[in-house]
Amino acid sequence: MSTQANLHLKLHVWRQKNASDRGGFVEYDVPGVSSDMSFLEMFDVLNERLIEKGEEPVAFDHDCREGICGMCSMVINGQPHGPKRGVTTCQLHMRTFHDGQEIWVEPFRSSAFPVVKDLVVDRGALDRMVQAGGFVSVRTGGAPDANATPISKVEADLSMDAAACIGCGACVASCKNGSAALFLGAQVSKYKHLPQGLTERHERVANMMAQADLEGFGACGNQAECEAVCPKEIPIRVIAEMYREYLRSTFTGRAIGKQDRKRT
Amino acid sequence: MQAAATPTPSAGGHVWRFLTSSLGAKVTMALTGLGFYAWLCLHMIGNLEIFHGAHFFNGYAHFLHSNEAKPLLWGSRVYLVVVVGLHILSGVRLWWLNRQARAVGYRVRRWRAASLASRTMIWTGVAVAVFVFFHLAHFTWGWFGGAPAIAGCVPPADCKDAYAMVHQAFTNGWVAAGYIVAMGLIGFHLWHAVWSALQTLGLNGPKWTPFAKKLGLALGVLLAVGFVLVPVGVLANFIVAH
Repeated sequence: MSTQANLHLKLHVWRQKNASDRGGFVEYDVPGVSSDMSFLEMFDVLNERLIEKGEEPVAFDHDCREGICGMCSMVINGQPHGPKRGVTTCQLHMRTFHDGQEIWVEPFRSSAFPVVKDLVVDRGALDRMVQAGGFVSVRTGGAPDANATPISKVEADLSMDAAACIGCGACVASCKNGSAALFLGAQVSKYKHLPQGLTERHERVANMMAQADLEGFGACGNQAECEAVCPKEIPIRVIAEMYREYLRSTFTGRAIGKQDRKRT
Repeated sequence: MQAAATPTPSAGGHVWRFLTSSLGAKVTMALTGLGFYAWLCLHMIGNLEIFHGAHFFNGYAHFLHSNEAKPLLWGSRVYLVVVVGLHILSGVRLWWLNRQARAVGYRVRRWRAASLASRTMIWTGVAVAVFVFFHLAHFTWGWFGGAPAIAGCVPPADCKDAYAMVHQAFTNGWVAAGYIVAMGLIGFHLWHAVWSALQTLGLNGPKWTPFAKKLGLALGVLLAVGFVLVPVGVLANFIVAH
């Protein structure tokens, strides 16, 4: 472990008053940053100083600060969640940077993620896609017997790897095309490998894909940049699985969309 | 962006909805790309007949333009127009959709995984399309002179000397260089294209995907080298005037 050190950093932070403001970079000189701080704690220090000076603090998203809630965002020196693999911004420590380093901090960029203020973007589009996916049929009543529904270890692991998605949207932010394919793939894949998820498999994938297009996400270019920046290291295997599910549901004629159900 | 979770109804049912979706465009890209690759392999094998000598090569060229081969020739022309046309249309559509999806870019960008080939697909694609246009103007439509007549040949026999046309074209260093560069770009395009097409069709696996990526590189190199052998053969005097 590195011993604690004080860093003097030069930050270029995207400041934008509201959604209609043009926005631009503001330079901040930040001395006295402990190398043991997280990136968000460094922003807390900066904001305290800004408040003391009577300036508007930098708005940024955060919640659990434990790397599991998916709230924190920020593109740090051209990489969502910063330069370390498999971590969120809140778990990125300042020891990753060196004294005197210039750091550019930008919001997640996607036409489906409008900037609310500064580094805060509206990621509601991801929630609306989950909503479009609909429900999972579950029998209510008495608790089922343990092991009454056998699931192989392999399938359970594949499902769990996909379910690790925290919905932060780094995949979209990293994608040249602003595609949400990795997020969507994770949602489809986590159900696909479990018997409980198979009842609605056809309409789920069709409705989620349709919603992704409506929200204005781009199309996947198979560049795997999302896989490389995902803090939960979800593989692009889930994207191929989503495509298989979509092709299957389309060409078996069972991709019953919400609109079709209304007609009958 | 829409607040409602209900997709807009589109007439024509699920297959039409699929074809007009972004994934439908991607699948069209993948299938037509693979279809064009398959045809290019046949074209390349045909070109390599030139190493058998002028008589053999001209015989092959005359066969392609003979009455017996007419269905084959026109069939492949229709096939190419459909396949390449759909590939270009879907490609431009996806490029436009993707540009809109990322309307504002980043000040600083550092790529971790996206290869240069994958980031330049639209541009290598456009370059190849421009090349194909000049290639057709050059060898099919004969805008720059066309094929000379075979000495001592009497019509109605087919007197076009395809061998001499190819030989003359590539003795010009600029033409040969342009051709070689274009083939390099096709190979570069295929490096990402082949495995990307397979991934889009849902083929992904822990053993398969690393293999598919190498396969893409190998198929790209194979096609580029196969086509480049002809101009190199002319420049290196393997293919000589007859």
